[in-house]
Amino acid sequence: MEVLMNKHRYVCVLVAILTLSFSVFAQPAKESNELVVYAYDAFCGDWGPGPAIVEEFEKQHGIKVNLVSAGDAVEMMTKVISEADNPWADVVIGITDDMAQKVYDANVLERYESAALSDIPAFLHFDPSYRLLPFDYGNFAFVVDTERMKAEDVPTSLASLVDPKYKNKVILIDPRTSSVGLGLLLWTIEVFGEKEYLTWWKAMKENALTITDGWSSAYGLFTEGEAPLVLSYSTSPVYHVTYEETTRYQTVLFSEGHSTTIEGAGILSSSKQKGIAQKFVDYLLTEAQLTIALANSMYPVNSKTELPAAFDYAPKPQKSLSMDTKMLAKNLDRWLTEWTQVMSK
Amino acid sequence: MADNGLSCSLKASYQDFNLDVSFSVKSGELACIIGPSGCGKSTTLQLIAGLLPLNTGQLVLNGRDIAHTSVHERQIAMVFQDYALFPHMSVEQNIAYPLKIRKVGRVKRKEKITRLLSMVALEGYQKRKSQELSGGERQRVALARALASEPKLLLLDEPLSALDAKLRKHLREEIRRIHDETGITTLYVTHDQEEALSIADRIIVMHEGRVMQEGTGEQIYNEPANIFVATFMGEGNTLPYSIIPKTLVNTGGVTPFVFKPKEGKHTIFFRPEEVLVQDNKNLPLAEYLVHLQFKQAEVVSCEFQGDHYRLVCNWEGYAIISHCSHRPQAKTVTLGVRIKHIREYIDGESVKKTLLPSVGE
Amino acid sequence: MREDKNLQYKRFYRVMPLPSAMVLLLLFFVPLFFTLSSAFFTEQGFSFSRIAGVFTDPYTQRIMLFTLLQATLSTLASLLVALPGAYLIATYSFRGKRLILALSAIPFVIPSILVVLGFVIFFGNNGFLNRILMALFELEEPPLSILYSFPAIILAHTFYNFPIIMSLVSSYWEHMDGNCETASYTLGATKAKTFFSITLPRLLPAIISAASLVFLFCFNSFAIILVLGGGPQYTTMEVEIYRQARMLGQNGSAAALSLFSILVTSILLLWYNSTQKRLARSETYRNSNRLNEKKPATLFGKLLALLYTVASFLFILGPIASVVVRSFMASSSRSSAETFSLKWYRQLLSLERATGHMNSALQALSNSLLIALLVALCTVPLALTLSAAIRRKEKKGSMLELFGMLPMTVSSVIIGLGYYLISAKIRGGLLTSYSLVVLAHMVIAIPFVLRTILPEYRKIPDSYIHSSLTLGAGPLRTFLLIELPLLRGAMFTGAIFAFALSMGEFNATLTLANSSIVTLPIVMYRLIGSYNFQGACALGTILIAVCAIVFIASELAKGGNHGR
Repeated sequence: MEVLMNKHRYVCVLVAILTLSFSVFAQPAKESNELVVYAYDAFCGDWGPGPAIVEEFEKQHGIKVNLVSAGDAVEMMTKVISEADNPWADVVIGITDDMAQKVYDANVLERYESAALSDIPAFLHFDPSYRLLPFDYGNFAFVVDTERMKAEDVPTSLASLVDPKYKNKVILIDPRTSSVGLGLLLWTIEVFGEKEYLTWWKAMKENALTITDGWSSAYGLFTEGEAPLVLSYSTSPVYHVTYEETTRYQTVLFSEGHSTTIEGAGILSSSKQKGIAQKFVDYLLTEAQLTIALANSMYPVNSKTELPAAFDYAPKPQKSLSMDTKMLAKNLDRWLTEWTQVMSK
Repeated sequence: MADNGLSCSLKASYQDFNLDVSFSVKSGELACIIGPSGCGKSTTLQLIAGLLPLNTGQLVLNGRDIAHTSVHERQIAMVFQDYALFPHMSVEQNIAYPLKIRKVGRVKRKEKITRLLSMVALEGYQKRKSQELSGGERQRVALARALASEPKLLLLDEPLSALDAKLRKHLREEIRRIHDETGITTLYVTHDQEEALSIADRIIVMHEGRVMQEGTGEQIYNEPANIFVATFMGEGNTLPYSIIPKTLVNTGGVTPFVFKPKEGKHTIFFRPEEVLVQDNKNLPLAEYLVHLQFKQAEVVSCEFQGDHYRLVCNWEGYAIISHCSHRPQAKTVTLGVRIKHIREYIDGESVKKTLLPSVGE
Repeated sequence: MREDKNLQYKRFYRVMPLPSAMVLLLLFFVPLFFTLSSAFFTEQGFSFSRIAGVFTDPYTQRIMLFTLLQATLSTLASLLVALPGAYLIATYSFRGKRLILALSAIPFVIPSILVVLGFVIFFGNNGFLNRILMALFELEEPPLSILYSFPAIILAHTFYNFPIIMSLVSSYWEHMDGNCETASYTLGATKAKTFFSITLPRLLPAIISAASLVFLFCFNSFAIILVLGGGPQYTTMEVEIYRQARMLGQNGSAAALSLFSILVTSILLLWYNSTQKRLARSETYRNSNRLNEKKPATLFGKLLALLYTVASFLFILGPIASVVVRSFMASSSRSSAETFSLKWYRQLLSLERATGHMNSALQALSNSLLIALLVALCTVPLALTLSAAIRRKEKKGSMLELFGMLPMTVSSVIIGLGYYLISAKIRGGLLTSYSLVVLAHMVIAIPFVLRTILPEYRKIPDSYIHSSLTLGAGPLRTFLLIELPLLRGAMFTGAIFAFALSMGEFNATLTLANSSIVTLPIVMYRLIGSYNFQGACALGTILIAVCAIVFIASELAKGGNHGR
């Protein structure tokens, strides 16, 4: 009896091992001529630019594109990096300038200097090695609900936000859990410097209604009328003007300037379809620009793009601030720790 | 070991005690295992049924060694203390359960169920649900269900302990009757001596995992092999051997009695019903054979039992229980018991049948 | 009670937990192992320094304490709210009872972001509650500022979780023999004393079972705490893990933190388990045909029932209702007043073009339904066999039980990392993706269904099973004919929860599915991510409606079988 039992056990273990190894090594044949594009989830959704772009590209070039949603930008990056030995994607869309260092370090992208770059202003070329090419960008800015705040009360600078009259009127986002929140953190460092930025944050503890986990919750609270000021993008009002026909929500321009976030696309060095990949990236940087801008509510990088009137409601700041990727990667942990220590008291 | 019926010798070791029993039940017999709580009787049943693993020992049923057979193949049916009627099935479905397993056809099934229900005096109960039944009815359904599986051995684990006294009396008769009708070898566990004595062909007395005595009811009651069995099966009086000289009355009896105290704890034992009670000071005890007489025993309590009175008297510090046909008038009485009704024990074990010396001593 | 170690049945019970073990192994333990092992590797190679660092850091300790604190308080609050409801449901029959039970799994269906939104819409400074009060009493400022504080966290957790406790405990309560209580009354004890000395201890197995689920959920809670808490002073372990893994890409540190969490929760789980087992032994089973199911007799009873029904409707439905109401309100432009409108539904159902291309939300709905159905159908047998094995082998059983509960103890970020590993290795077509998603959902659902079935299972007396065996039925037959039918209620409840969890699952689906598999939560997140909150509300309403129908239908089916 005991022997029988042992036999059973071995059989089961064997089966388990076989199944595991089968799944590890089994791979379906990759469809020839199919371009695999990773993009963050919002890009791929019905309300994102992805489907329209892909359809257009397929029509123009007769090549099948497999648009794969890979979570948010950070998850997508993790996915690409963790697939280094078993890569699938040809193109990756949506890695931002502040997170890019990790992808550079992983060495999975290949240099490509698209011809379209000549139409893109220099300050947007955030990767000198052109592993990542910019395809849209935005400025972080506070958006105000004009129905809940009088025009004279609207703040004019980051520094003025700490005024007691804004108590519980501002919705902020946590930099540890959100790239937008991180954007704000970096913005304050860019404006106030490493010595003073925490003072601003400490003061904002009073004025913040809450510090949310991500942009979605923050903006949701904002549109529900919980507070009149929210951290978002300077292009947010474009959506409301276009689809809701209202100018109720407006961008607040700050005198110190705004921090930019640039989204980039890149070709994987492991790609077997480099030629098509490059065509796709070119397409992203040229014909797809308008669709992207509209769907993402961001600025197109290509200066030749003609924007609809709604974009008048997304004013560009006088000063664009940004941070060196290397410096960011080196100090991020420390900054976040400092921030947490100050804010969690 | 008998060729037919059950014969077992079980050894097992558990947390609280060790079990070492060995007995046999003849084919068609109704045997009873009796003992105090915790003596291992339920464990014994479970071992026989196969619900507990038997590591050392032998188990032979009708000539077949079943020690390593799976529970469901042993053809041993068991009725549990809580009856274990399946709550999601009706009475009919419960009884049909073993029949379906044996692939009995529908028509035959219905027939059998009707027959079984009438055997246990529950005609027409087919559609009832177990929650609707009283304790006694559930017990009978459980019995019918067990019988439906046509077992070679029927085990009953304290089947009546949850019922009231009158119902118990009635149902134990039923059980006996059903047993006689079906002729199935039955092993019945109980802690009620009256039950055991009344219906069993053979009784096995257990204590602390061991068999104390095995035999018919009469043997167990009248010739208990040790003090435990003597005091467990019915009431009795245990006194030290040394009081004999003080109390012995030999009114010119035929055989002289020899007083021989032995090493170890030497005790005597006799049943209450064998004790004569004389509550009239003026009259002597009406006993002419050799007997022990306890003069001036003080009456401590007197309970009316219906057909007799149970008297507890105090004689020189010893409590003596006796039966009397009437309530004693006096506060002290004289008690007497014949030699031949007294048993002798050394260290709890029986010495010989009675105090009467055998020829040649 | 002696162990049932009959040699012949060892084989049967050894085989039983295999399917669930396989699923858990492949889709959880193996990826988890690889992910967590990174905690032991620093630049210097294999070392314990990182782990030691995490455990001894006072900051981490403080966060761990806070996480434990809020989870404990939330669990207690949920218990407090749930037990009266369980009592009402178990004792009385009243109108709306089945409805409450049916709806109790709804919070699980809704992705947490909608929960947060719903809360805000209802309890927020500009929420319905405040607006009504302001209108009623003509106030300038909103009177109730409940949100963005520690109590708000507890409140939200309670809303999310008390239905589970109510459902699990009431089901167990119903099957409990009422004799002890009757005995207590005859001995002169008041109802209150009886409840606290007699009933409550007997309910403990079910209470602990449900409470441990709730505790784990609150322990790993994320969005609710951050948004409704109001600030980083309410940082939990999950936030820190998120920070390390997502923001900093330091998987090793994240893994170390996760190990800390897993250790703490496992110890708690083990303690829960041992308590529960000890208590479950003495319970007797009774079929749910409560012969004396009564209507609340006294005025007090009626009042209590009414009060509770109203309060729980407020609790459960308030935030949900807000989301539903929201979805029906639209204005031609944001500036003008909102009126009733079906605009968002028209958009969703492709009847009206909105932004970008429209893939009908109906497809997402059907995907979600299909996957959820599969998950429910597959998880129940797995959890059932696992329960059977746990019950049989009481010693090794607690290891198995822990095994089955582990998916809940691990942070979803870490699980997500593990899923990346899987999706990196396994790439296939549509079928593979579907299977992976279903399997991942099953892993998430197993702890819940296990918790639902196990206490009921333990109550089935051994004598039923022994009886069946001695009547000639083998172990398989006994399992199918005796044990299974007695567990039907628990299986149904478990299936409902599995269904709900699957419908609301987001993280795993996103990682493992390729773009062709779109589920409702994914579409909801996309809508929210593109400013379309009301569209998300509309979708959420559809989700709720569908689930409500499914749950009510199964409640009716469950009720029918037991003649409630």
